[in-house]
Amino acid sequence: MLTVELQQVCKSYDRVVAVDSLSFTIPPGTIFGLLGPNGAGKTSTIRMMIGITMPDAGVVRLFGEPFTRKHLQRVGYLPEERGLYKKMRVLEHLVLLGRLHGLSAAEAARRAQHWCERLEIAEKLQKKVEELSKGMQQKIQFIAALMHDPDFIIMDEPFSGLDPVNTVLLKDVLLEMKRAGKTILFSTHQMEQVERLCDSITLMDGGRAVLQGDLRQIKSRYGRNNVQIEYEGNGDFLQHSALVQSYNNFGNYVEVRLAPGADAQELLRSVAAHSRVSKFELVEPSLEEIFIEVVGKNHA
Amino acid sequence: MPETLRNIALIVRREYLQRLRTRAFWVMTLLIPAMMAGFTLLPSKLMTMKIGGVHRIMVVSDIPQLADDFKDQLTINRTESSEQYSVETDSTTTDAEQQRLKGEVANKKLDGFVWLTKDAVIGGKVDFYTRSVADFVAQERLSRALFRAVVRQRVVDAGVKHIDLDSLLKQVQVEPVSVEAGKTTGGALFFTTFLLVMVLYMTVIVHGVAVMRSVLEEKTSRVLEVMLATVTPKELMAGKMIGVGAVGLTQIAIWAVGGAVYGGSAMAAARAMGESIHLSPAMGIYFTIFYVLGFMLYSSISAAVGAMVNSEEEAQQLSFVVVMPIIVAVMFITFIFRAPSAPLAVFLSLVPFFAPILMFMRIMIEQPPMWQIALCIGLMIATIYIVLSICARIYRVGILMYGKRPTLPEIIKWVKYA
Repeated sequence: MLTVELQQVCKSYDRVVAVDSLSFTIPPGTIFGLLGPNGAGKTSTIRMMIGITMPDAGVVRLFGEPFTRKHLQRVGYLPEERGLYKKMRVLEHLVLLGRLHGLSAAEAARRAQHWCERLEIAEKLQKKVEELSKGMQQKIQFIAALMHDPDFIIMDEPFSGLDPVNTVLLKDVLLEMKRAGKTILFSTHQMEQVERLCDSITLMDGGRAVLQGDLRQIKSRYGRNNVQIEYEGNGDFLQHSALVQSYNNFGNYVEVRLAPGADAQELLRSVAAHSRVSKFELVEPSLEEIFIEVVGKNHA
Repeated sequence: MPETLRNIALIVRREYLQRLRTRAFWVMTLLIPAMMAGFTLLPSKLMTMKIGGVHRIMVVSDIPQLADDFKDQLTINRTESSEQYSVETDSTTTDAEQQRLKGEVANKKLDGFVWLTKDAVIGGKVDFYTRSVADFVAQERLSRALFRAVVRQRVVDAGVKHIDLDSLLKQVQVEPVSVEAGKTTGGALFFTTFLLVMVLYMTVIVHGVAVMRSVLEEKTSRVLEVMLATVTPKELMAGKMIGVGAVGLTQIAIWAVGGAVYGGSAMAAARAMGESIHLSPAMGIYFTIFYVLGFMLYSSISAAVGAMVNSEEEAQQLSFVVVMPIIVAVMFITFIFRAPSAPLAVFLSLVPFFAPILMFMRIMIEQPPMWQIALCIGLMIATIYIVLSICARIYRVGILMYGKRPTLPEIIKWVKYA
C-alpha cells in the first residue's frame, strides 16, 4: 500500500497553471524529495495532499484511499510559511495543535513535554511564543508536526534558517522516524540536504515533473563523468583542454565535467603534466548539477 | 462532524481565553460604559456646574421697585446648584454712568450690569453688559428672574394689590407618561435608550473589527497554514467569530452584573442628575439579541475583509467602510426618538444593517408591533446567512493569498469558486 499516490493532478489559479498533470508515488518507510526552483508548484502540490486546496483534475490518494479529511489525523505538516500565535505559551500552543490532531489534552501535554526535552527546549515550555528566537519557534513547529505520531510527515523547507547543530538534531529525528516506518516528504530547493536523505525524488519545474525516480538510479543515469581534482600549480590549461566540457573552480579544488567520450585517465595524465596532483576522484554528479542541467535546459 | 465540532470548540476556546487575558479587554469593559455615560452626562453636568464665586451684578434702573424685585428674584436660591448672586441697585441711568460701569466690568470690579430702563422694559429687550457674553446659563437665569420681576410690575400696574407672585407664576410642566406598562418617564427613557444604543453600537463595532484584526494577525504571522493542516477555513472562521462574539457577550454580562450590583457609575451619575434609569429584563434580552445579530453580520464582513488585506494600514482603511452602515444608523437616532413609528422609521429599522441600532431603539422607546420585530429578526438572519456564505468563500481564498489587495472582479471570482 502506497502512502501517497498522485495521478495526473492539475491545479490552476486564475490563468496560472500551478501544477500540470503531476503523478508520483511514495512507498511507506521512504524519504521522498519534492524538488524544484521557487514557483515550481511544490507548495501547491503539498496543499492538495492535505486538503487545503482541491485538485482541478486528477486524484490524490493517501494510505491507499482517495483523500478525505480523516487522513489528516495521520499526517504531520510543517509548512514553509510558518508561524505561531505569538501571545500563547509554548505548552499551551502545542497542546492546542495536539488536540486539533485528536490527542487528549493530557496526552498532548505529555508529548509536548517529551519532545521539548528531546529537542532541548524544555525550559521554554512556559514562555510565550514571542519571547522565543526564530530557530526555537521552528523547533516548536517541528514538534507540532510530529506530536500526534503521524505516519506521513510533510516537511516544507524544514532546515531553512536553522544553525548546523539544530539541523543535525532535526535530521536525526527524521531518520529515526524513517527507521520506525514513517514516510517522509521533503520539499526544498536546497539540494545538498536532500541528497543525503532521500530515497527518491520528483524534480518539478513550471508545474511539471521534469525528473523523477530513485535517486541512485538518476545519479547513475547521469553517469560518472565528473572529476574532482585537488592540485598545486596553474590550472589554466583546463580552459583549453578538449577533454573538458565545463569546469567549476572552487579555489581549493576544481570540479570538471568531462566532454562526451573523453577518458578520465587521459585528463589525469594531462593534469599531472601541468601540476602536482594531490587528489583525483571520479564522482557522481551532485543533485544540484543535475537540477541546474535539467531546469536550465527547460528554461533555455 | 464530531471533528468539526471539536475543532471549532478548540478554536473558540483559544480565541476566547486569549482575549479575556488581555489588558485591552478589561480596559474596554470599564471604558465603554464610562465613556458613554461621559458623553451623555458630562456636557449637561458641566453646563450646570457651579463655576464658583459670586456673580457681582449691578441693576441700573429708573424704576426702583422693579430693580428691587429683580434683585430679590436673583438672590433667592431656588436649587442647590444655583449660582450665587450679589446684586446692587443703581438709579442713575445716564450715559456717563453707563460708561463708568462698563469700566468697572472691564477691570473686573463688577461681573456685569443690567440696563433696566423703562423704555427697555417696554421694548421687551434689556441689555446685560458683561465680559462673558456666551454664558447662556447665566443669561437664562437673569432672563427668568427679570421676567418674574416684570410680570409682578405689570400686575401691580394693572391695579392688583397684594399679590402672591410665587403661586401666580407656579410652573405647570408637561410630563410624558408612556401608556405601556413598565415604562418610565420621558427623561429616564431617553437617557436609558441613548446609553444602551451607544453601548450596543460600540460593542458591535469593537468586536466586529476585532475579528478583522484576528484574521489579519493569523495571516501576517503565517500561523494560518499551520492551522489549515488540521482545520478547514470554515471551522477557523466559525471558531473565530464565536470566540470573539462570546467575548462581547461576556462583556455585556459583566456590565449587566455590574449595573445590577453596584448601580454602576453611569446609573449613579444619572441618579445624581435626577434621572432614574429603568431597565427591564426584556430590554436586556433584546440588547443581547441585537448584539448577537449585529455582531454576526458585521463580523462576517470583517472576517472577509481581514482575509483580503495584508497589512494593518489596509485593514484600518477598510474597517471604516465595514462599519459605515452602522454609523449611518446612528445618524437616524434623533429622528427615531421623535417619531419611532413613522413609516420611514419602520422602514429604516427593518434594514438589516441598521436594525441592530434602530429596531432596538424603537423597542426601547415604544414597543413596535410584534410582527415588525419578528420580520426584522427574520430579515437579519436571512441577510446574515447570505453574507456569511459569501464572506466564508472570500475568507477561504483570501487567507491563502498574499501580495496585492484583490480587485473587485477578483473577489467576485473567489466567491464563484466551488
